[in-house]
Amino acid sequence: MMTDRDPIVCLQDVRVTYSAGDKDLEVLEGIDLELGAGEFVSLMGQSGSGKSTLLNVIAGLLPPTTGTVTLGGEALYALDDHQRTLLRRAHIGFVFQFFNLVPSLDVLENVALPLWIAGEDPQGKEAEHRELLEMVGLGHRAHHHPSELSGGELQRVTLARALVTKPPLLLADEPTGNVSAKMGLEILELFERVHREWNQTILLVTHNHRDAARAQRVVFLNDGRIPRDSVLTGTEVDEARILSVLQKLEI
Amino acid sequence: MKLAFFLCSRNWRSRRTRQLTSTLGVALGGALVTAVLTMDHNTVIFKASKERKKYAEPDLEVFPTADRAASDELPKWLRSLPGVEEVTPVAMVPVSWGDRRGNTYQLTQVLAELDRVEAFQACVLDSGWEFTATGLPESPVWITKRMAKQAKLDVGDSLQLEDQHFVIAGLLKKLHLGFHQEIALTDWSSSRTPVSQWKGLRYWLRLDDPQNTDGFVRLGKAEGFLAQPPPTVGTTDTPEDIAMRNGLTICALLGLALGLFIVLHTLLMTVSERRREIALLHGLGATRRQISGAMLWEALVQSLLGTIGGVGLGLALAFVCGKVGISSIGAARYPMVGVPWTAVAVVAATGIVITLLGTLAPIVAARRLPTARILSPMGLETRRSKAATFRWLVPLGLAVVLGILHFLMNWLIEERAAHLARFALQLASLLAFATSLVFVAPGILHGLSAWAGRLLQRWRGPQYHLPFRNVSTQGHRNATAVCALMLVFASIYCMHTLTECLKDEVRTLGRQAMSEMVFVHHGAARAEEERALVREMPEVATLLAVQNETRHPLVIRGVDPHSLLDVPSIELSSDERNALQGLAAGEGVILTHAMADRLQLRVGDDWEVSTRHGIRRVPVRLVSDRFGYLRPDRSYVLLDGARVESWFGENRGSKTWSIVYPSPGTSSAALVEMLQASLSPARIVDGTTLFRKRVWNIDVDFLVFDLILMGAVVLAGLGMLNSLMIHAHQRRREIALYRALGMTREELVPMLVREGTLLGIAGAGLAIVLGLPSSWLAFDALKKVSGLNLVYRPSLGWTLACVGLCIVVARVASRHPARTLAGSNVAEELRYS
Repeated sequence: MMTDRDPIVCLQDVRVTYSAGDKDLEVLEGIDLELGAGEFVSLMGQSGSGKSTLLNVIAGLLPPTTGTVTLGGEALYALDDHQRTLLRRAHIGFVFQFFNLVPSLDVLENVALPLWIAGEDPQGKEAEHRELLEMVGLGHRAHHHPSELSGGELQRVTLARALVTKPPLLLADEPTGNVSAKMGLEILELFERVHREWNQTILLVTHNHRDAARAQRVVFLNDGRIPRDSVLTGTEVDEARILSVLQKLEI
Repeated sequence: MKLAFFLCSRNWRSRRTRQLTSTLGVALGGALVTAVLTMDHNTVIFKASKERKKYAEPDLEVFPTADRAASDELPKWLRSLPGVEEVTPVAMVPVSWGDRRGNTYQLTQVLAELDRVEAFQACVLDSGWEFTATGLPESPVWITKRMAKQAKLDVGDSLQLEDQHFVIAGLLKKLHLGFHQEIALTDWSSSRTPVSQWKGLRYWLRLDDPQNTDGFVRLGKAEGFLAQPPPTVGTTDTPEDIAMRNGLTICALLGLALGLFIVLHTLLMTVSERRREIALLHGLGATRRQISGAMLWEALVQSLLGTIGGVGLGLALAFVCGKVGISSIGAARYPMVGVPWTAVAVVAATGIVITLLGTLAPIVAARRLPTARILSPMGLETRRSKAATFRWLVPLGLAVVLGILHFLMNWLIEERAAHLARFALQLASLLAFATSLVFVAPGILHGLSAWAGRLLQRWRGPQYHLPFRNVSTQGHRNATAVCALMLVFASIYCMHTLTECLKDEVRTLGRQAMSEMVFVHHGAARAEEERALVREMPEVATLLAVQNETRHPLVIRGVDPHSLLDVPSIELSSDERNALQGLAAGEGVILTHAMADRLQLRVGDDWEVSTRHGIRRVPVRLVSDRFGYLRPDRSYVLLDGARVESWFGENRGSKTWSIVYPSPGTSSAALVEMLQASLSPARIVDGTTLFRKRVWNIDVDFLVFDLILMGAVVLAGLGMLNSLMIHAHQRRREIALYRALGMTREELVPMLVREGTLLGIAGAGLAIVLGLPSSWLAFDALKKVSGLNLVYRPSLGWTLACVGLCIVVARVASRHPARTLAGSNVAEELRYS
């Protein structure tokens, strides 16, 4: 699926096959996808359709069986693990469904974690991090531990952590899947704000048609493929059209 | 039961490394104990059998006084005693013989009734005439095969002993005559010296009832002579042998305790690691009993497999030790003749029972897990209460109170009675202190890593922040690994300090001024002449003529007290000076600590000794080991040399060696050269060489302790590896997150190794804090049990080595989990909650 912007991510004929006993299980079957710079894309599909696998492939965590993946102009899997990790560090921010915060660190430290990992000293940037926390509505929770926060708050910390290095690409794996509907709405608004104000490329994996409708483009994944006529762009993106595609694909 | 079996077998499959390391821990501990028990068992059998063989087989040995020795009445009187089956006189006299090439041989002339020699199994003939053969040459002598070979002698050759001429009638292949290595066996009737002048005269008695010797011993005492069973070893272990055997057993038991600790620690960690799984099982309907059963089975399988493997490995180790010459009483090759199965079975059963009892804590922990909270998305986050943070104060306070009580014991109870109570209090205090350290470990870890992290971050860069921050924030989790290191290395520190004290005690005896001494072994015939010559040399400051008298189990050393007072390089205390002056002025003896302990005598007590003039009572003037350089033994009595002659008769052998001190300005090396030029072919050894040789022998004797320490270090590594593997399992998600956020494998492994290093540093510090009082307590106990005059000297070098070793073990042990984590599948780990 092509984009009219400069692509930041480009997948060409990506296939992922798992060995399941005596037969192979093809999870992704020839995916072609481009994500343009500053584009907000939703990825929808039923459970087991390969959404998370696709996200991992884009993140450089799962080498495809065949096909090429380009991130920021670099062929991701032509690099070795070390270089791939450095590329991920520089280009990608992650928001996970299950938060994945370090329980022993407080909120501020969790937000600063990617900088520590990058070998930077974030101590001079505390004001920036607090600003980020203010943006996600958690300025007053800077020194609380994850065990003291609600699901929605945890997800907002995760978003702040994903943004701390200002990565050009944000990968969000069902960020509203583990929070209440109201909290989910607030989180989606935050994504929209980030996209609007920071001009970030966002790939949002979701089950929820209302969440998906906030994107500029919606891509549907069915049994490891992106079926023809299953991409909604621009003005096509609304809840009713998304629902009709889902019905057409029997999702 | 089915569920228990299923879970147990599944854990063995899925957590193989951890199961194997903890089983290996028990196996290694069990192997150490089995090896030591078997080694000791076989050493004792071997030593006893060797010693029994070493001496002839009289039921009793009687040493007569000089006046009775001259009389023919004594053997008649002995024969007339009821219960005496046979009596034969034997004399053992030190003589020397020089061959044509100028070599001097020190040997013992044994005068015996030849027809009785074989009856008492004194020696075994190899070739030549039988002892009772007809047609023997005139003045026959039998010598050892070894001496004949060395001196190139054969049957029929002549041999001049002192001023007597003999013809070699045969060669002997085995001697059963105690410590006499080379002998010349001659007929009793060949003696031309009056019997009364033979210092080595004794009568061998065979009794109707060999067990009934006590009555004869008492009778001998009443009649004024010494009657005692022949020297055998099983009954006469020296204090140093006892100390070494006890020390070995303690070390081996510590090894087993460490192995068991690893299993218990693993089980406890398992609960922490598997709490979600346990909660899930419970949520799915498994009863608490089923879950407990599974854990019990797991512990049983680990301890059983470990014990069986450990016993096998221990037997193999004992066999190898016997082959290479490491025994429980020093360097000796022993044959594997038996296994102390009862002791091994008791230790194995105790190990298994302790393991099963030890599972109670993890089982209780597992039963108490709050299922609903654990299964919630955030799981169970432990937040420590303030009360829990300060609970280490309770055991520490207890340790202080018990410590104070221990010192008050001196005033509260009479000294001897207070000994046991004091030891119990010390032990309780130490345990309380160790408990407080276990509680305080997370806090120390938190503070240390936060402080060190800040320091290193400022110094070396931000890459040092994360590992230190991880250790700091996960102090409670890491504390288990630190405590494991602390306990293991405190034990190692304690064991090594103890063995060093023992070694040091042995070395100290030989160290005093030995570097300046020169030891001269004279030919017996020329001893006086040579000593006079040496005394005349301007390069010689002092000459100590040392006399030996062995009255088993007593070793009596005679020396001129004035000479001892004049030894230039030994500073004597006023007590020692007074005691030596007292020795010179009148009767009195100085005992070594070991001898005083053996004889149960103190300064001022009377020492009772059988002399040629009857029983004498001599006051003990001093108990000191300061004259240990006179010979390496620790058990001997020191008295005026003049009295040795008058009490025990002229002893020609006693005059065969001297200690010579160079005068100021003369080096001992120059003196050695000078003496060699003047006294050839006398054997001259400088003190430094002799001391080095003694130290080497001591080090070889203590090799077995070093082997146990190596085993303990491996155990420490296994324990640490196990802990870190469990931590790695718990931290899979966290580490996967680091990887997802951009940490490379190359950055991850050093980070985890740095964490391990920090744990090693904390563990080492706590190990020293605990090891110091533990080693002092063990030292004090050993001193009391063995009666050795030990001095507690914790070494800075060993303390640093222990810290270094602990850090190295921690670093090495953290590599495998670090690599495992670095290789884990990030996408999979992050996928599920």
